Amino acid sequence: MNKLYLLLLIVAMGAVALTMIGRAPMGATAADIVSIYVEGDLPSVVSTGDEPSKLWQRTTPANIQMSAQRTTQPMLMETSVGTVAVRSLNNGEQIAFLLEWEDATKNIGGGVTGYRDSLAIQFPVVAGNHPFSDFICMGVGIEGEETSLVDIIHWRADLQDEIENGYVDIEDLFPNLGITLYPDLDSAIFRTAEGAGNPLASSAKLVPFERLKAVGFGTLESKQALEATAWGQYFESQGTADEIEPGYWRVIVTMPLASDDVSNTQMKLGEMTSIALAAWDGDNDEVDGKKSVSAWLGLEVQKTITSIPLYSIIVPITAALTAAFVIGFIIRRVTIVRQKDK
Amino acid sequence: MPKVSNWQLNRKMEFPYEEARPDKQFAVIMNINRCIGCQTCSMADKNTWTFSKGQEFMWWNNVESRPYGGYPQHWDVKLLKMLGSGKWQSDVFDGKTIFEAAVPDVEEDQQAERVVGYIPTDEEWRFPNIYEDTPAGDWVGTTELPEHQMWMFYLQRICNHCTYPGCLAACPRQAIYKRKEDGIVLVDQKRCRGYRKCNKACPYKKTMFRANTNVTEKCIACYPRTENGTAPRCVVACVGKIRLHGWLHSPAKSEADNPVDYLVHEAKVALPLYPQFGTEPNVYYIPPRWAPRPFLRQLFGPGVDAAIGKYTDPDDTLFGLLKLFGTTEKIIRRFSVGNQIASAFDENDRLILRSPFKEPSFVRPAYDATYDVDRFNET
Repeated sequence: MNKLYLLLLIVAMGAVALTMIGRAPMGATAADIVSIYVEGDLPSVVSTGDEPSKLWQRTTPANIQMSAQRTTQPMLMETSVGTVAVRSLNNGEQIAFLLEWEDATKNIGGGVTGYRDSLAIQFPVVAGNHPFSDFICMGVGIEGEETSLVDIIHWRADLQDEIENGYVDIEDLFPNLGITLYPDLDSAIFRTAEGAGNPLASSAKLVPFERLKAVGFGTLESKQALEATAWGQYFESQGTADEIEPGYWRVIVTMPLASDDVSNTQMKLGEMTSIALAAWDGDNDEVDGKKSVSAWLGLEVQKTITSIPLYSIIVPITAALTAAFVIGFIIRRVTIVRQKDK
Repeated sequence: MPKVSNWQLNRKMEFPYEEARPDKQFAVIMNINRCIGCQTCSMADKNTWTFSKGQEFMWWNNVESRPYGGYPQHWDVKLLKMLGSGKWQSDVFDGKTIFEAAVPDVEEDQQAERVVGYIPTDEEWRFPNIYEDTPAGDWVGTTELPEHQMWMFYLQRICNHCTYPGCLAACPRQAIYKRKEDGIVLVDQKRCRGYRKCNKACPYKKTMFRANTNVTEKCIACYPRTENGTAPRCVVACVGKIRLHGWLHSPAKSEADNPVDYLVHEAKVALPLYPQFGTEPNVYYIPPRWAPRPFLRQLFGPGVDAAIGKYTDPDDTLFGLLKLFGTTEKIIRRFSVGNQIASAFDENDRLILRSPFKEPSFVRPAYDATYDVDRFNET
């Protein structure tokens, strides 16, 4: 009889524990990407090893399926970035994303014909627009709805290369160039786009990304306030021809959950918002709408410490003890009744 | 896709935007017959607009030797191959324009891009004047009109400020615009994000990417000058006096006393370059009368024979107007010809100049008896 009691107790505890271990209870909608809450600083620099820094190991990557953008011209007819692995952490004030995707070649653009690899993450400015809010793609309204403002962080390999290796000027691109004299090289008037205030034309790039806003296709605008960081690293392919591990990009983006800028997204702990991804393969001359994109995805910003999740310990133990007590009580009652019958 | 009317093709054609013609259209007439290939126009343009770092390869104005030259190299041959065959049925083009030839994806019936084109390589931008003066054909001991056996000619090229610009059609963020007041096509230097869709789409390859600012630049039609009644630098600097700038109207609104309207719509002596591309370009050429007609018809369309005929045997009006080429920096809004004198008038109908068909000449004896000296030739 003691053995039966013990067995029932173990089964009951196991069942309760299994049902409770996992994600924190949220709304009814399942999240595609879960931002795990951690305490302390978030990693903002890509670690140089093959594995991301330890903090990221608490997360499970969400492998996001990408597809060719075929809604507006110019289109990409066949995707060249199949999946992007996304991990996310937050510390209650900041949120960080680690994004990895395979790319056989590192492209930093340059010259008249070169294009660069890049990746963008996009959020609705109005929080809580998930699932499937009233807009698609880059804030294009559907079925007569108004367009919606979206907030975009676009990391670019060419901008990062400029920060790491210096501004790429004409003599870097064409070392054999022979020009006797240029007038007034320092004047922005003669660097026409820079003189006009185009941020992309600046020879003093400070960050390897842009923060942008859009309200539909073709409306992208750079924002002055960045309030974010982004940094990427390319990992060359490894192995032999028989067994090759393809090269890949790893990019980390960090940003505050809340912002005073009304054109920035606002995220709240414990709530769901939307996120969408876009990736460009420079080797395939991808730029603008010629890109691989994800659907709008659910992003859950967890507010519980999941490294040692309290609920996953207390709740199962309490439940198990209760179950054990109830079962024990029943067994005991049955035993007493049987003994009396004898 | 909207259907717009293209008078150069004599038919409707597809274009991403509705037809919206400007109040007046920037236009330049190039008389190929007079060009000596001195490149003064190219230098005038470069010294004015493209002398800075990053603009080295930018020859907004270039003069290339035909049939072999081209800047960027092979620009027209490459595009003609992409567009496939097409014929002129009388004066109607039955082939596909750069907008119509955008090949749909077979499965989805979608076009990846709005315009057919390609981005020239660095190598193709290397030689602004490749095959300079190189003739085609064989020397047969004589050179006679109507077609020389051994031939070449200079082709003067600037942005065509097209009525239906390929660059504008291809730009996904409307960073390129065509001004309503004068039809000049410009790249918004602040809005451009360097996608280079315009580089790919412009059939004449006259939008150019500046690698050290990551933005595309192009010929601006010297708008600071034209807004003030002065012709563009390349027009004014022309040593051979082959160019005339003016404001063109559509055929239905043609004004016979407007010099460019007269040359294009009335006398039909000036023809667009590659009208079959479908952009309705607004630089017009008086074809070289010595070059083989099939070659010229490919470049300038079915009006070549009539244009050369008219140019070879001009009436007084045409002869007088040709005399006004290169005579003034001012934009000629109206002209008149009478008593073998051509007159030019500005925007306010003020007389700019009069030019007689034949300049008065004086013959002075070699010996000057007054001073008892011999005269020396001063020229």
